[in-house]
Amino acid sequence: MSRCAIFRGDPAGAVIAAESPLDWQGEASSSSATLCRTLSQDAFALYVGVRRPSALRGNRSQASLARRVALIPAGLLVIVYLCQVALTQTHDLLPSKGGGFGMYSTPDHRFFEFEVTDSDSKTYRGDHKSFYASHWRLYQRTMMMPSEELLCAVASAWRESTLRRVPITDSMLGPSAQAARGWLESDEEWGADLTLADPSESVVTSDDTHSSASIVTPASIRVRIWQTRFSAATGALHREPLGQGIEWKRGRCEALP
Amino acid sequence: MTALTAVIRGLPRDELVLRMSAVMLMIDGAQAEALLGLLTVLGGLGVVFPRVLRRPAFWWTAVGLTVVFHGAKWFWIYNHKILFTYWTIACALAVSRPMTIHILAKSARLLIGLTFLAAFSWKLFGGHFLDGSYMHYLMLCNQKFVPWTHWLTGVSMETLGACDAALRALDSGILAQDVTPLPTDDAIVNVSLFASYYTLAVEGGIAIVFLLGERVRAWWRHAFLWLFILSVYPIATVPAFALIVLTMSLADIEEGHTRLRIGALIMMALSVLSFVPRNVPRYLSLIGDFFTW
Repeated sequence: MSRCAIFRGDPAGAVIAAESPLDWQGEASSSSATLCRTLSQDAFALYVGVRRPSALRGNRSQASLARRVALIPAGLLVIVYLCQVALTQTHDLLPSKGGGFGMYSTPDHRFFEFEVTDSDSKTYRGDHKSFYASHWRLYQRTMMMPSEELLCAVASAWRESTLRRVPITDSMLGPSAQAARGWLESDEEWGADLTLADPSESVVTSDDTHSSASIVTPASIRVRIWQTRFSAATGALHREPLGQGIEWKRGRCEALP
Repeated sequence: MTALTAVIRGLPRDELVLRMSAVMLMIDGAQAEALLGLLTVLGGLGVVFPRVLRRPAFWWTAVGLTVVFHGAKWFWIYNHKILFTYWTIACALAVSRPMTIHILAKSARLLIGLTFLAAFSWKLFGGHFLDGSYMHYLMLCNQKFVPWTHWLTGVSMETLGACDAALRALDSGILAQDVTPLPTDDAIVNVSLFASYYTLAVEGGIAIVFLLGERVRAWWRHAFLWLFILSVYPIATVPAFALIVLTMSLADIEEGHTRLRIGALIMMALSVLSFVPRNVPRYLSLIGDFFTW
């Protein structure tokens, strides 16, 4: 004896799930088991299928299996999300990266600060754009999730470059510094609150287009990453250090106090 | 038009979803350049020979390639590329079992719901969204948002250049102070607060209706999704994310819902074309350069 039921199916005849397995019950001859009559002309509508009770149980278990299979990619998403949240809290991972969907939720502007001290104990700011030009992979990797090891690798790569002393206006920082200065000085009301560095200040660059500029041999290099925050309450950008930063000195790299 | 509607109505759901996923594999599966060529060939193979889309090996190859190439650079990869990897895993699992479309539909609802839940949770607990700070920052500092800020609040573009100038100055080291006040006004404060809570409401709404699954009518799910895409993505301009989410959402639209299906396809076309208006000056310049040379 067989039982009839209404199934939702696909045109290939594979029964997907018994929507209401016993919506209509009746006896059917075994030969009718091969005759699934389409109720509608729409190829994707309902089918009447004749299935033995064991087949119905099989369909239910298949539907249940389908639901469990669908949980696999969703479970992966949840695991990656939880790891990403943990890494943002413990390892300064950028919230917009790492598969946690934290983009457009927190400010993510970060920038490097290099300080190079030469053998005469003179300290110069480093041109981080020239570092980006020659080491963009390390630059980006460090910016996304800085660690002491990566900051030391940055200092090491910076130290191995030929470093030259040039005025900030001649460095790769020059165009943006000049544009910013021009804008800041054009707005007297706003610019009055800001203290700008001297544009003739020297910076150290690894840009090899300045072959005639004097070479700086670093005695120590400090590397730090800053991030900016904005507060609606104060209407101001706040600059804060991201982690401690490191200092390379006499072949050793240590975290700054 | 009637013929086109008939074609769209007549396409089996799983076939439509798998074919559109193969197209996505071609046009937006890769971020790493080394992967781009491989996925273009693989996706193209699926588009030209749709029978291969029914083979798990096709999708597992896509999964393997993206995991190897994107996994090595996980800290740099866009979130939507990672989401698409989950979707290719769902496709691989679905085609290896008889209930393909049920697995695809359930996976799509879960992935869309969880993606928006994750984004919602970041905004809720990230510490910069509820008081409007982050939207305020975007409206002042993000070059995608600045023209809209000017249009919505009337604040001049010169004033709106302040944030960019301050960021450049901080970045280049000519400004080294810890607190930099920015010129702003009440209109920006009000619009940023409205935008913050609107975004939270719609993202939270999408998460709820997709995670509730078939307990909510399909129209609600897709209406929320389209509202978000139409109202947020033209400003935030992330059409690739929209395309991936819309491709997945096709799996959730049953065959009888022809208007929903047409709507989703129109939304996909709009997402693709959203690149165009912004890039018209660039296209004209490129054409001009070509003929000048």
